[in-house]
Amino acid sequence: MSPIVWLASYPKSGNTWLRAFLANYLRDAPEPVDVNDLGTDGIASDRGRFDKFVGISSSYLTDEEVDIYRPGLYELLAAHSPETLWIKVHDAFTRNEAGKDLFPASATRCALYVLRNPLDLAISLAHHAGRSVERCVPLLAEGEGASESPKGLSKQLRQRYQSWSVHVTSWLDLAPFPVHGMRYEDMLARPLETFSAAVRAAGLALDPERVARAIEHSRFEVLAAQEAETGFRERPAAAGRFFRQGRSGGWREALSREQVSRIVQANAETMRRFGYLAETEETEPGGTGGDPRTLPVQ
Amino acid sequence: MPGGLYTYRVHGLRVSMEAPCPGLMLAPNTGDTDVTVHLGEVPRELREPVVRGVAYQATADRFLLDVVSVARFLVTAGSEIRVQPHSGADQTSVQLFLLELVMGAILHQRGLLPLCGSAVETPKGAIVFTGPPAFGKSTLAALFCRRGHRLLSDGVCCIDTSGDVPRLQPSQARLSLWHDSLQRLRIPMDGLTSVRSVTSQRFWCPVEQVSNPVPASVRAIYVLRMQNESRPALQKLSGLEATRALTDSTVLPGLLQTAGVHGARHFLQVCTVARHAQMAAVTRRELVWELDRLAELLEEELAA
Repeated sequence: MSPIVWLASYPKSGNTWLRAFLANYLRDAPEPVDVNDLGTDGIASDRGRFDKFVGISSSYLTDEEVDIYRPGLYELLAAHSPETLWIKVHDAFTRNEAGKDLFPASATRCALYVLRNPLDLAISLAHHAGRSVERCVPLLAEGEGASESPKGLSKQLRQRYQSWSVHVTSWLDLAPFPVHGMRYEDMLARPLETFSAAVRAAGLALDPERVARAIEHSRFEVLAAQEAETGFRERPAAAGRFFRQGRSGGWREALSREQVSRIVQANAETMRRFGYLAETEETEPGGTGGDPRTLPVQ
Repeated sequence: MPGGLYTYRVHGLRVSMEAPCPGLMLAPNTGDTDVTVHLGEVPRELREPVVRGVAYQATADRFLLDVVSVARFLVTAGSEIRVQPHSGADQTSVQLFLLELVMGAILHQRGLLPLCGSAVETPKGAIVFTGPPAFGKSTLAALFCRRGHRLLSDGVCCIDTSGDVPRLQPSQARLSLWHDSLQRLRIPMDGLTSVRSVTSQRFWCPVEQVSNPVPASVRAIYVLRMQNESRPALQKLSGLEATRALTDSTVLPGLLQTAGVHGARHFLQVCTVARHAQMAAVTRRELVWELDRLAELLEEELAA
């Protein structure tokens, strides 16, 4: 069986929370796993890993040239790993200029895809990147820009996020391997049910007691306390804290009507499909009361 | 071995080429060469490769590299480089990969230790800055040059461990600096050439060239790290930490597995370097300009 399980999401959608849960589930230790030692297998856009396994310094390549090598990189990692590789990814599911899927089915067992209300994402993204919400809205709405380092070279390769709805549908509808979708809001509201489904989808044996323990050890308060005590090495330089609020619905106090309108207009169909835009809320969009059973699980 | 039209001194080797290569130190054309570079057909695959990366394959004495839209390179027995440019490739790009990765493979095959980094010569010996791309290696070297020290190498640093002490072989007389570093260092960009025409963020910055460069004993190796949670700090490395840091900094670490030959030799090389040179991890923060302060700290450390 191919060893890579992609832990995919738009940035700030709950990916680190999922990784913390999986780390705690896999280790099943009496104490929470250190947030700086989750033991998952890094991010797909890790520049250092690219340079090491491709054999070329990516700093000399264009983004398009880098993307030519990326499918081969993941196939090489898969071929040399006797164990499951849990790799975080924030790129949309796209193809490179040679027409190859960036994340090849031949290297993949499945993907766990976390999605979150794009209205809440706007706020989290702004804090994460140290930018105004106003500057994050065009990214979510129209997919303007990718994660490019403003000065010099980033530790990450170029990641193509696209708009929120293109990102969501690229993974859930286009990827040629099993993709299990899970909503951040359901991870909050129904953690036992939601994380148990993720465990099954990843091909792990389901142990309900272990799931409950892993949920407890990866609660927002636990992760935030660890960050406060020892820091979090994945925190971007521009962000004050990585684990900020861990809740949903904050957009109601933080976004202007214009910002809400622009994100909703651009993403309405996908928001409605995943319960973020109930028919009754067309005039005041962004409800999170959608039926989780409508979420397609492949 | 007979030479080509142009002969340069690169990492202490006499390298002859069919085309001029700006930025390299010319060597007197005495006819003999250590490495010959020429154009020719390069196979897509090696027969029975021992190791395989995404873009390269290798046996104990052959190395094949395919750089998309640039060229395929075949390195044989530490003495021959055959280049087959891809259609539309520009000469600058071909030379860039030739001088970095491909020369790195040559050094491996010749039993020399190629480290990714920049090196300058101080009165106490050579110091090497190593670490991942864009962590500030070349910028620190530029800052040391401003303080009166001489540039020995940038990109690949070649260390010869065959003598009584490890020695660094001088290479080129130019630094590759990122756009933001040039701005921070207040170096005008007029007249600087891009390291690759298709990437516009990095430029060659010439430095003063000495007429008769000689190898310098390696005094210290500083491994640059980036950590947002830490204040700038210097932490001494020894034993396993030091050898691991040197292995991580080696050009083409995948080649160290080649038939077990490069790997065993490389282990002895990094042990030798770690025994003779002071080694320290230098932690700096992302997006915070503190390299000039770091340069001062390192000079004080060296003087102590």
